Amino acid sequence: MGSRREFLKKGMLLAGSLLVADKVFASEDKVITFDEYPTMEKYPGKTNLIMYSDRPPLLETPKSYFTKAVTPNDAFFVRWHLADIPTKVDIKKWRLKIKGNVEREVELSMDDLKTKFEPVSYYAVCQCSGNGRSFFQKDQLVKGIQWKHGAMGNALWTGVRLSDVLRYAGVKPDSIEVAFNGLDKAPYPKTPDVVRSLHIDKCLYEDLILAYEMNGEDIPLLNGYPLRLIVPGWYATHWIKSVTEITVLNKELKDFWMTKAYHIPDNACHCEDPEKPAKRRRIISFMNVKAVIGAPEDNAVVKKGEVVKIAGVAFDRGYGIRDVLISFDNGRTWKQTALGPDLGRYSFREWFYYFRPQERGTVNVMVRAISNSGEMQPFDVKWNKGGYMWNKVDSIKIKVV
Amino acid sequence: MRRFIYIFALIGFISTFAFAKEINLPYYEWKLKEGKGKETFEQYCLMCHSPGYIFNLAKGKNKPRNLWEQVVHHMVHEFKAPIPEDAQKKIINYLNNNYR
Repeated sequence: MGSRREFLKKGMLLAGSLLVADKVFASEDKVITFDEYPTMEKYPGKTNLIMYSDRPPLLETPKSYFTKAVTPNDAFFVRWHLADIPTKVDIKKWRLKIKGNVEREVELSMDDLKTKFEPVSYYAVCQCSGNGRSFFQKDQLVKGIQWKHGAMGNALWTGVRLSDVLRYAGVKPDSIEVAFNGLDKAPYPKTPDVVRSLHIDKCLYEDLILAYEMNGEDIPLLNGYPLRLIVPGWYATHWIKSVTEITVLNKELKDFWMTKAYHIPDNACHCEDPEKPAKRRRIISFMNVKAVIGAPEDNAVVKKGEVVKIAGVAFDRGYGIRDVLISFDNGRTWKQTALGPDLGRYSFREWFYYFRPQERGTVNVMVRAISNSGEMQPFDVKWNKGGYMWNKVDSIKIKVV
Repeated sequence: MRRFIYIFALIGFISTFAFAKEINLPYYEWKLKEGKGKETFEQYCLMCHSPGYIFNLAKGKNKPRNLWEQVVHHMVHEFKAPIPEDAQKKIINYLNNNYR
């Protein structure tokens, strides 16, 4: 018997050590030096993305994804302001509270949201206000995450109308704003929590939704599970993640996030002189028109006479894309590209062009989107302090050999 | 009967996992430059965020002379970072000496 006990003991020890070994292996710390920074990293539920920060996670989608209208969930960019982000949510215990200037305060479970309200879906582009910030002129520093093109993505969002949920609680007539708070918190309690508000008319009469699905699946935790506010056509700073509290207000919210953060010069170009910052500023809202080239990659090499497919996506604030034009002679002449299916006015629109180079040398390919409102992607983007709204005509070089 | 109990127990076990979504965030060790004030920097700045959040602010750009002063003051005044004044100076010096 003794030997059996001995055997069991050894076995347990072995199993234990295996368990420990497995744990050590699974959480092996990766060392990051600044020579290889930013690096490509794989987060739980995500594919390899460009990582700028791990706490809070800041992950960018590589440009090659922008040939397809729908960005897969595992490649969708990640941006949080405060490092204490929700990494565990028990949906049985989770509740959405609607409070403040309402007839009755309400707490809704996920089941309530899915059964008491009509589900709606649409495609919409989610884009960080600072997407493309790194392209602002090198001598005019813009502080903030130095995103390239990939702080954006397009998904099919499914959820309930914000207006239905607000009316369920009963909005009092003197209400002027609605504030949204998510599960994320700052590690230091005095840091202003991310709470943002929107005008009551926008919440009651426009097509905002509270989404519980992204591309037909639960929203990934890193993208705002279990419920995300979708503000189509507006920059992602308004798309509060992991929404858990909605407060109807009869006065303006005046926190740091509403009075100082994400403000742009209040003029037509949203631009300013670095030496003389604009005095009048307002909170960022609508996205401007933009097309990006997803393929081929910059400095791609192709053979003379060979056909190469140039493809990308385009979008705007919600008028929809009328045309995406392409130039091979530095903007002197422009040709129309073919547009993919229309997935709705807030969606990415695929575009493509089959190019057969006839001469050897380097070709500069420029792409320019025009919206249904006539808004055109500009050749030059003027500077603003926050490095917001970058939408300069995109270009790549193709080497023909 | 016992078999049913096992099945119920199994369903209960699985369902507790089915309703709670959880991820473990990876951990990275950032290799920072050695220098005077490094500990002060680590103590106050890395409490709330990783070095990536700091150094990505201006990567590859011409940095204004007072960049790190601006950043530290922004953290103290807007984000209410509890950094005493002498520590602020040490942090600014560490960043100026090592990350210009």
